[in-house]
Amino acid sequence: MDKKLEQEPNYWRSFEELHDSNSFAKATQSEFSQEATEAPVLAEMAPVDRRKFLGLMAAGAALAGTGCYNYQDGGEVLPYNKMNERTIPGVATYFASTIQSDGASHGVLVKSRIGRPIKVDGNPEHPVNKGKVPAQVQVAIASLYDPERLTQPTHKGEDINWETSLKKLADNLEAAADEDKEIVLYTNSVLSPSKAKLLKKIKEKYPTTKIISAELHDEEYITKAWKQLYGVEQVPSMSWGKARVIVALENDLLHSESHMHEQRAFGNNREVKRGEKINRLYSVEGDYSVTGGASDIRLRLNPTLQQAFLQALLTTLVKEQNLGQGVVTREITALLNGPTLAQFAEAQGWDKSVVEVLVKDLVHFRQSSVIAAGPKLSENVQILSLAINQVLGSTKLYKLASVSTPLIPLSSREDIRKVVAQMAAGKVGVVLHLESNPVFHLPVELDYAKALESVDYVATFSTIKSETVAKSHSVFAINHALESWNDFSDKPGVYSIQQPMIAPLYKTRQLEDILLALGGRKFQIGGYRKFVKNTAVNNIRKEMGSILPRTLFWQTTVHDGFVLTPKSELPALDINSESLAKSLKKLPKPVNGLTVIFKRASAIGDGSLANIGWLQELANPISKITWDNYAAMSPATLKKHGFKQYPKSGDDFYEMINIKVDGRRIQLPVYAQAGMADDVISIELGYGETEVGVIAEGVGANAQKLMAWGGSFGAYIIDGVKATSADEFQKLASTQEHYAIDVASIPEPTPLAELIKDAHLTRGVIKEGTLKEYKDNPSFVKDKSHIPTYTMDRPHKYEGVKWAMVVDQNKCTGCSECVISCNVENNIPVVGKAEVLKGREMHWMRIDRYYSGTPEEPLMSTQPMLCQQCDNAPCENVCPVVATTHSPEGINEMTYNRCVGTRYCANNCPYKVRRFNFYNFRLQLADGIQEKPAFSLLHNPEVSVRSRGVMEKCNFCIQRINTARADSKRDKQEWTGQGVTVACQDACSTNAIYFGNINDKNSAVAKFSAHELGYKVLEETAVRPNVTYVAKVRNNHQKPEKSEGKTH
Amino acid sequence: MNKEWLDNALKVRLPIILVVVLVTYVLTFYISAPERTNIGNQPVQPIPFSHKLHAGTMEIDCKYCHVGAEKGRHAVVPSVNICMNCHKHVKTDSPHIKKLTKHYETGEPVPWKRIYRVPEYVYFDHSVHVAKGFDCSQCHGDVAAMDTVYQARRVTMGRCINCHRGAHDEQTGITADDKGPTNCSVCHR
Repeated sequence: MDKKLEQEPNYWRSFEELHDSNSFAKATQSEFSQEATEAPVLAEMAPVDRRKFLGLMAAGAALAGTGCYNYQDGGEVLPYNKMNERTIPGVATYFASTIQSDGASHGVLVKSRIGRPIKVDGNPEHPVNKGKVPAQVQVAIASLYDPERLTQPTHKGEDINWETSLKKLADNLEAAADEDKEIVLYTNSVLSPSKAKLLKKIKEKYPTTKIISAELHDEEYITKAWKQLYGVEQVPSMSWGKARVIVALENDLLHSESHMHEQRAFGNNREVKRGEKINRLYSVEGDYSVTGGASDIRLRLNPTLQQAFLQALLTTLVKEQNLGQGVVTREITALLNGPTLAQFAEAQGWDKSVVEVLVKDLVHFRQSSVIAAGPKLSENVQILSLAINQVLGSTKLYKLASVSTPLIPLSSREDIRKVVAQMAAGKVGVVLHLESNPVFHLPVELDYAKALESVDYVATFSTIKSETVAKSHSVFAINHALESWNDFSDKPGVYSIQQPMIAPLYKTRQLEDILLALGGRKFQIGGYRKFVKNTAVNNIRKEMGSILPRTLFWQTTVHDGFVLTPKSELPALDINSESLAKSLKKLPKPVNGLTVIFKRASAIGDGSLANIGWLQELANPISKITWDNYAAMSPATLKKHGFKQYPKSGDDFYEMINIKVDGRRIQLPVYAQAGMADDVISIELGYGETEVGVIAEGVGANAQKLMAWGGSFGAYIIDGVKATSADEFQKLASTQEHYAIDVASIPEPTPLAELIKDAHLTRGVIKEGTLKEYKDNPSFVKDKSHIPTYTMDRPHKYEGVKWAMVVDQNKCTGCSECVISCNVENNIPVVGKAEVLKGREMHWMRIDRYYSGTPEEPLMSTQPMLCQQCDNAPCENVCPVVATTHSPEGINEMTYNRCVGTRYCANNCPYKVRRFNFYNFRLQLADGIQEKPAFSLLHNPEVSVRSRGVMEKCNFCIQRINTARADSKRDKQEWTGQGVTVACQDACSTNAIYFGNINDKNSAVAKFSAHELGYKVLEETAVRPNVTYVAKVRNNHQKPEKSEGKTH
Repeated sequence: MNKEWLDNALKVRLPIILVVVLVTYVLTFYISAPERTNIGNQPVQPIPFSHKLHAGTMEIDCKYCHVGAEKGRHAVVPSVNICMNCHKHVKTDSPHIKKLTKHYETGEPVPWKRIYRVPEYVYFDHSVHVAKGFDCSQCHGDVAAMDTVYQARRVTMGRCINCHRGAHDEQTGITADDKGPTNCSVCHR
């Protein structure tokens, strides 16, 4: 037994730390790891070959020649020719728009400088997004300026012009129609009413057209369950805000891009105030997800047993608690003859008291408790979860008046299979891929790539290179979302507009303009804009009964980005007992071997964003692994199979394993994930893109190769999997031990070493407790803090504005949206996997993730860590060139042009939040792709692009503060600091971050920093940090034998 | 012999070397001053626009053309459509105005030569200074008297800081409380 496990409390970050491994001790001993500070290896630097060298010499000589000529020459200033009255160079303008990502639309507000979009945030007025968008939408500017985008149409690899390519397309369509062959339109989700109309028009013109709409991650099983059980096509949304008890089944609802409102509603119910109730989140899962980590009570369950669990729960509710009268028929009750929940728990080895509390909660809070089954679970599980919600009376929480009718519903897997079979049989003349990548997304068993070979003409409309593009005859480079017009109506009661922010950068055209031409109209650039306007002004305006004149209606809709439309009513929900009985009878047999669950990649979406370095480098919120996918399994399963946890100690090497099922096979590095159910492997989909670009090259493995559709657990869960060692090792770049705050253990036992060993356990970096503890003693956190009362100096009085931040750990789920927002705002470079391995990632903000408890059932605590802007900043005292100083508003400022790179400041920072530019990373990664002309448009012009040898760190978005201060001075107003937000705060989907002037007593930040649960990290060092953390209060149940209190 | 050499070295050679070094330093300092401060930079502009005529004789307000000065960071080199507000009708037969009109019609920007330049790590905001009541000439010299504009004043950090510390002694109506901030991040970030 490890010593750490016996301690109470026992926070640990990784198994290395838990088991006192040397690598962790090394990691924590010095500010920078050994690898980070070693001298540069010439061979590893950006390659300079002979041609480049000669080129540089020539350029240098030319520069020397011209430089002598006129040293005062300042170059040219090219002003606008005809300047728009509202465009002022240097002043940002904001435009409302909408961006589609992974099957959902997001209302966005785009910040634009002289017509160049530089930041995408949520539209604060959008009823669904309310100012928050997922990381995948925030990086829309990165995909817009991606130097590897498709720039013009090609045919069989040759560049051709638009006229020829469009003619080829039309000719092939006509030919297919003449031969009576099928035409397949394979599209991503169609969320636009105008686009849906277009597709229908094409279908009218070519009657043999089949429209297939598919996504890598869909919610087919949920939709099917609603149809089966209630006979309705629409899935209503849920009033998460009213739910007191949420039971998430293998459901990462707090970390899925299309569900921003769930996250916000959860956060709103997590504001711990005296006398106010907070919700309770259960998570029953095999994987360890963000939702599981944020949950109050977590139960480990193999995903293949979810149906058995739900049947046991239903049995208990109906038979023991006598619920469900009038819902559950006698026939159904007769079928409930399986184990009760208590029996099921015993078989699973769960704590009995936990399931008792679960049932008690569900019954006590009936009508406001929800069972939320994740979209990856099979149709039967979904049906059962819906039935239990009905038994609990929680159908009240369905937003009945807020359903949207699908425009073109996603195709079922059977339909896709049929079409692929038709293609393979040579009955399809033309396949058009509209922004979709089926060659990469569809399981290998369908062999889509081979089926394409039997098709006469394959064309792909895409912004990026992809596997499907590589298999196409014609490729049509289309406009990016920020260059296009569109409309969306996937959110109930909201019709939103997408408007272009910038003229097309390349020779691209809008997809819908082309579709319009295919539908029979003459091709015209901007034709679709008129079409959308027509939909808005004629259909939507009429539907709303708006009294605005047509032009004004259109203008206000485009300006606001959306209009609210009448919501359609959901019919009464009557359970179809027959299908419920059918599901109950279909309890899958227990499985042998391992179970694989495929999950959504936490950052790169369905793979189409794999070339965005920011996303690749964003650490997984749980495992903290960047630049890879991996096979995660519980430590016990790892041991059982004889895989080694640390095959080569200290070197970030992981053992590669072969995962095999029915002849399909992939190879992945194995990763021991604490808290996972035994005999489960979880793998992220979307990795292993081979075509999209140099950033994505060689990152991860394509796990779609392991998928199969026929299984009894749905497409995303397969059983009977075997795993064997591949006798190979691979490095995984995990950031979990980088920049760890304190010394955990010292390899050599000296007296000093003994003194500071495990200091972080006693220093209270994380403080938290339970709801009961809080109720008994509301100031329990403060009581246990060691706040120094002694100082040698008189604290500086901050008159006027003083900036401070509060992070509410009750709301923080660790999802890392804030990190991406910070990267975009502050021009953070991507360093690449090799540099992350050396501990050189440049993120100004990191999410520290701590586990506590045992490796089997760990609790997770997350702590966003950024510069604490200490009043007594230790970094400032040691800078030999005064490059880091204190501002009168309490900000620890960093002056890059003064920094000479001694790194003393980083060495003296107790929070380890300073980052050093060991290279010009922009030049270093992938042959300098970040220095390409298109990429440089991405930079925020308000922030310096730091060069090699310069220290950097978070500065509370000083550029936004300065802009706001300048505005107030210009407008001759008193400067109170109101209205300034920081980038991380803007992106936080649960509103866990507050920022503002703490001297303004009415500000949220002043209120929350005085919260009774508030504490500051390492307060006892008397550095006086300005970031307050509100301690997490877990709403878990009290085990009778021992207290759960974990504050220290 | 040895002593004689030392005597010579100390009495003759050393002073000569010191004087030469000093003179070189002083000469270089003053001769290279315009190179460092850019004072006197008077490039030939693509169109010989006269500030003396427009701002001096005609008394057109600076901000009529430099529209950004009151609103944002950059004072903005005027766009051609501002010139054309008048020159659609005024002096249309001048070859320079014809050239300007051609620019306007083809949409090609006029490649004006830059005169004032601050390093890229400096974030200066015109609008705040204008709002505080500064006259443009306080930093840019008497542009209204220049036929071809040249840089008349230094724009170095020393000059910025001097003013920010000195509570604008020369400026009436600005009190010591209202003096410009002197912390680093105001200009560098």
